[in-house]
Amino acid sequence: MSFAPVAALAALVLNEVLYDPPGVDAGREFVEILNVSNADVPLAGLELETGDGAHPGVWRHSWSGTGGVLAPGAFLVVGGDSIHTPEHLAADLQNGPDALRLRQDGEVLDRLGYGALNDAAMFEGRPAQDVANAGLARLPDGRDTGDNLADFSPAPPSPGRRNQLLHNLRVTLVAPDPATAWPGRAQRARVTVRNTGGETVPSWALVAWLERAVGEPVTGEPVLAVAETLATPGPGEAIAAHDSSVVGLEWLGSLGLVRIGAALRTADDDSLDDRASVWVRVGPGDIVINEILYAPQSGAPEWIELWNRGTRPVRLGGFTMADASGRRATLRARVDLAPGAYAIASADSTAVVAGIAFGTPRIEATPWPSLNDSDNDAGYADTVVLRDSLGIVADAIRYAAAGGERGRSIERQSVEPTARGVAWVPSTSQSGTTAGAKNSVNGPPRLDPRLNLAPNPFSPNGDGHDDQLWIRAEVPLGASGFRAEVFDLDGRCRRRRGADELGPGSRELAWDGGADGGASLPTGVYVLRFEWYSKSEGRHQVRRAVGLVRP
Amino acid sequence: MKRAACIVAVVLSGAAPVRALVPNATAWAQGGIDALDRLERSPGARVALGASVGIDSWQIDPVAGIDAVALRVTRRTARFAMAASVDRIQSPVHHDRGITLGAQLHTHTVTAGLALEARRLEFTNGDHAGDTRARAGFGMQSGSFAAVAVLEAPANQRVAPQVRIATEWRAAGAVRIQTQLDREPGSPSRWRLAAAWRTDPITWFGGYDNAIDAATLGLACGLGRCRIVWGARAHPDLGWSHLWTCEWRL
Repeated sequence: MSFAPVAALAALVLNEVLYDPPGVDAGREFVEILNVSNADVPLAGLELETGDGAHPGVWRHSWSGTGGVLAPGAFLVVGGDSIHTPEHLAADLQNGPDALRLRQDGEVLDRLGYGALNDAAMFEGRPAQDVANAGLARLPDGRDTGDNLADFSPAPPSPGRRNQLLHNLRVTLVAPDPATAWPGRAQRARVTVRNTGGETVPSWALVAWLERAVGEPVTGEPVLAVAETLATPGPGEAIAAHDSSVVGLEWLGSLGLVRIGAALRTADDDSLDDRASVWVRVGPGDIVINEILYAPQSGAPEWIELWNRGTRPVRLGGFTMADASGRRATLRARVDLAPGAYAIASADSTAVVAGIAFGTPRIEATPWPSLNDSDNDAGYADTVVLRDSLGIVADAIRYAAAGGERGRSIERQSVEPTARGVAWVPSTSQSGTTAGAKNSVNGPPRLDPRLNLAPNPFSPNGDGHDDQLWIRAEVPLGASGFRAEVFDLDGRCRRRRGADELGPGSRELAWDGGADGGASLPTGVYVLRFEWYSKSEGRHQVRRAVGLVRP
Repeated sequence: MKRAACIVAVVLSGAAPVRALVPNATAWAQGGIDALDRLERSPGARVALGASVGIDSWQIDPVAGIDAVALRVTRRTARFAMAASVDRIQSPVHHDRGITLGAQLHTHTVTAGLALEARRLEFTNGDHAGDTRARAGFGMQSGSFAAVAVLEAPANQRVAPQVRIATEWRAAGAVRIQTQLDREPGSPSRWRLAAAWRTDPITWFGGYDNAIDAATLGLACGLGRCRIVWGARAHPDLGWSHLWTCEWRL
């Protein structure tokens, strides 16, 4: 990296200054020094001074270098306490008209004056303009014509980074529509590579990956499994300045939460915008959109019923809910939703909801995303996307309104979507809804183990990649224990993988493809059966197809 | 043609996958006894004179989303018989296609035949596997008693063959009793027992499979040249699994 400053007067220049940041100034100001020469410059004897426009000729010590060198093209940031740098200003910078100068061993290397200054010793050529809520930066970096007004322009603060990028690609990633993220279907994300630099980037390359979340996050971001590489096209063609190129990423959707990431493999001027990631969820998390009243009787509110199918209480405060227009409502809930419990979200938590079960928590969601009650050309009326407080999709559905009846809700037929999504059916309840209670039509079971298998298919070939099938499940509240077994398609039980009587809670098992007795099962598809039992509700089970691939 | 060549290359080189064959509803309703019909599966099995076409639809595990379909044709003349079938098993994580061809020479009392099966499994993560199997079958019939033996082994591996022996006894004009014993290297013996009772136009089936302790039942109804068969198995852990077959006599 080298600079070609115009009429450079010294090896070091004042490259950027932020003396009036937005909001409080104290601790957030900085001065950036740039080495425009082709050799290391020692920092010992270097001194930064500030001049007060009201008192010409008076310079105050602000910082001095003690040791080390500044490499060619490198930046040195001297900042307030809130700026991430080892070099700190001894005093706050003043808003204009004021000045800065850089000296080394008594010799002035560079001067910057800003605002209406009269003393020619406080600036070079003409003083730069006085700016507020922005920085003053040399554009391009290192440009020094001996005229502060010509060399410095207002710019967004970029301490330690270039003010103007010549070769820079910015990566952004757009997730697939969460309302159509269904298992067994190809999921597609879109990567946009935009040239934000001033010159054409002749070639570039991307790497992309997929990371599966291990179970549901309890607090904070989910724990991720080892990343799997996603296919990306070969080296990209040249992108002109301010132009962009779009790359599609594709993977097969399977139930659960994944993080899709993409990053440039090509070095450029700014590495901070070279990677991006998005969360993609297939099927619901702990919180499920379980019932919707989109066409209430006159005067009654629209509402959406949420159900906690997990084993932990979930704080709904900070969740957001959006319809197809993208308008987001924030859920204002102060209490946690208990495992197995329902809550009703509506625009007004005090409005009367007919037939609501006693004690059902009410949650206000504003501004309410008005739910459509007639289908569009694509055959559905609206979508509802529920996001947690981190912005990760908790559940996303789309419903059709054809044949709907005013005052009658629609109920979710199954918790987990198929390759065609989730089916919604009108409530068969006499009151028209089952607000706050189990659905009337094939409602989701109150107990649900949240079985999560990954990777599926798996290949136990000892290469360290996908060698084991991880079986993660949560034994629901009320259950006394579980049992996990693997059957072949002939119905024979080939492996009993786990069982206990430890009550509700998380379980994690690994299966290496072996049979009871130690033999290795051959390539094929098997049925994994996860059974849990409770004294009050008997035995329940879920079954999933598991692919086992041997070389 | 290129794809066919690719499939053959793969199936000849891969490790043998687990067997998963689509039965017909009659076999399914009789405890899974499959050696007494389906010439391409049991080359010694005696098939009806003339030609027939059959379609099988099997809900292997509706909860896990696994199902299968098969199409098969059979033709028998005075001395010679042949059969072919194609099937497809699919689940959320794979699909498995198979093609089977069988031929047989027979007299009034003895049958002998050969069959070859090729399968290809493709998984949703892009992996694939294949298998070819050869079968030799022998059968004999004497009065109300019939017996069939099948030897089956992977075509590209030197391993001991799987042996299946089945017998049928027509106890009375309308009742048949069937048994089948499977011996597979490394696995315990598997035996099945079944009975069929004909009360025109309906035939009733019941059976038992000791390997999984499962009972089966079913019925067949003949309507002119068409015959519809339903079979179901009650697995003690996996529940019900249904299979429908529709056959036309040409």
